[in-house]
Amino acid sequence: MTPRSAAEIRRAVASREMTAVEVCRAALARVEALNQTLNAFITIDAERALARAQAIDANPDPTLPLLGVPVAVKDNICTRGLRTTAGSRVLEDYVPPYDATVIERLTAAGAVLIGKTNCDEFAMGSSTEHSAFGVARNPWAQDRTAGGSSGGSAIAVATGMTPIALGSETGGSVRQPAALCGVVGLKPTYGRVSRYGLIAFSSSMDQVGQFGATVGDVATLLQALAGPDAHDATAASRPVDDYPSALARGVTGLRIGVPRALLGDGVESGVAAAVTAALDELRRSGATLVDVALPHARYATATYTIVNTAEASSNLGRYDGVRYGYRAADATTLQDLYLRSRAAFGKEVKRRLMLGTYVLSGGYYDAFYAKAQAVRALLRQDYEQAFTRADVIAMPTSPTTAFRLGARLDDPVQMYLADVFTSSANLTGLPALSVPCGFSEGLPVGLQLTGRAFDESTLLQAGAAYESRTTWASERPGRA
Amino acid sequence: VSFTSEDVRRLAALARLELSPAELDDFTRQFADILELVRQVEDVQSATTGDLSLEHVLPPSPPVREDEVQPSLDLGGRQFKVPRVLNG
Repeated sequence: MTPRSAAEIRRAVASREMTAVEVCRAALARVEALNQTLNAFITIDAERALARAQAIDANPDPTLPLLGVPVAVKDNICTRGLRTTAGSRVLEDYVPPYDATVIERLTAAGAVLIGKTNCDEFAMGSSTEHSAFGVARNPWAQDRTAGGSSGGSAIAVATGMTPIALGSETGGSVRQPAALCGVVGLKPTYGRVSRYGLIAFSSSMDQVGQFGATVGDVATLLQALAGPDAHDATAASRPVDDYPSALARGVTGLRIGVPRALLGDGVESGVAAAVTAALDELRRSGATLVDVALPHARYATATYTIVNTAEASSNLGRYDGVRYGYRAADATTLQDLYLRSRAAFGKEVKRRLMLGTYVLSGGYYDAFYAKAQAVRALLRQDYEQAFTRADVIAMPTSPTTAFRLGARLDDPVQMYLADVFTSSANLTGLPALSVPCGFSEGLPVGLQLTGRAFDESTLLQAGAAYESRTTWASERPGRA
Repeated sequence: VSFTSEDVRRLAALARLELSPAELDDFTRQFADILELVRQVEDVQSATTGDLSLEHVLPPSPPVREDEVQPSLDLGGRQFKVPRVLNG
């Protein structure tokens, strides 16, 4: 039986109780057994994974924090020599000539890349239904969404295919699928982790996020990835905390802010009950609950919709059939080449590119994009105010549990509202963590904690304290 | 908020996208709803210009480092050798 957590795997490989090859084979077998049903992976890299594991076994360095640990990576993060599709037909055959910085750092930490995971096309979606490579399914209920856009990575961790995984966040794309699949998900502060090699969607918000079955594994993973990068000018140069050392600090005296006014509407009763119980547990553990107000948070979805579509319409201009990706074969003029090549985009991407074009167009820029930027700054001020009273802010990660596949496909506004509690952290750049906090009608619920900029330590500290007093982290989907 | 199929057609042309008749119908219907959502920001009373504190979410901090020569692409004669990105 393969150990479940990255920490246990690292220990077993370092002490030679297990070989990295054994661990790798077990992970690949699990992927083989489950992927047909759940569609978590777009590309499985078995051969190179085994070769990498063999190289580790030949010379295992016990100081490496992820020695021999299998990892799954969202398919919008570039991997040298391994196709990287971003869930799109446009990049179906794209094989990057370089590794993203996060891939280099995973490799340096001793991790073994198993494959590339399914996601909404160019990370645009909250259900992994907008993938050109088929719908991903929630391991707790296969007629339901795994969340998105990093649904495949969440499934990989929830089912024990890999103990840790990378995703990307623009409006909640790690935290929301983590909540819906019952695993831990982190969106670090904007700038904490390099984005070199992350396929751009909305550059003022995009950030690489981490999945793990435990808070401790997420702390170890973040430690391996965080820090400045000469290839990414948006990667912050400030020193990186020692995240694992924060895990055992407990929550005695910690002030947890609860924006109660925000939580009235649209939160499923089972989600509200689980989150309330989690807050009670944190209070019994020594934390203090305080009321905070985030008056501009109600504009988060509107603001997020403006900003992400505007930036996407600019970023995805590069997919024109000339330089990157799919090129239509039968075009006769340049205009024709653009139109026919860009026909390979899926419906949600087209929808966002058009909306983005609209909000940036003459006469609307001030009303929408400039206004949205001002709302972001006001929202940031709300959080700064709240952090004078509280050390972290708690709310549900998602207002609902996993919804049924297809239920929101024809209603984009309902789909966008899946991010109602998560997008604030992206708009403001703040770090946020989702930890499993129970179930509602058999489906996982996530508790979200948002922290001060670059204070991932306090989030991990609170998350670990909560996790240590509950058994949610050991609950696994039965049928998977 | 009204959004006609002609508006959608015009936007598609600006975004260099070709829409099927079904997409045109769906987007025309859905854009009215989405526009209603994004117009919520109009309720926020704030300046959109002139107030510098509202122009940047994060304090701009230009990254600076020593200007040192770093390894770059291999030189082949007078040309750079770049990684292969096309098949064949």
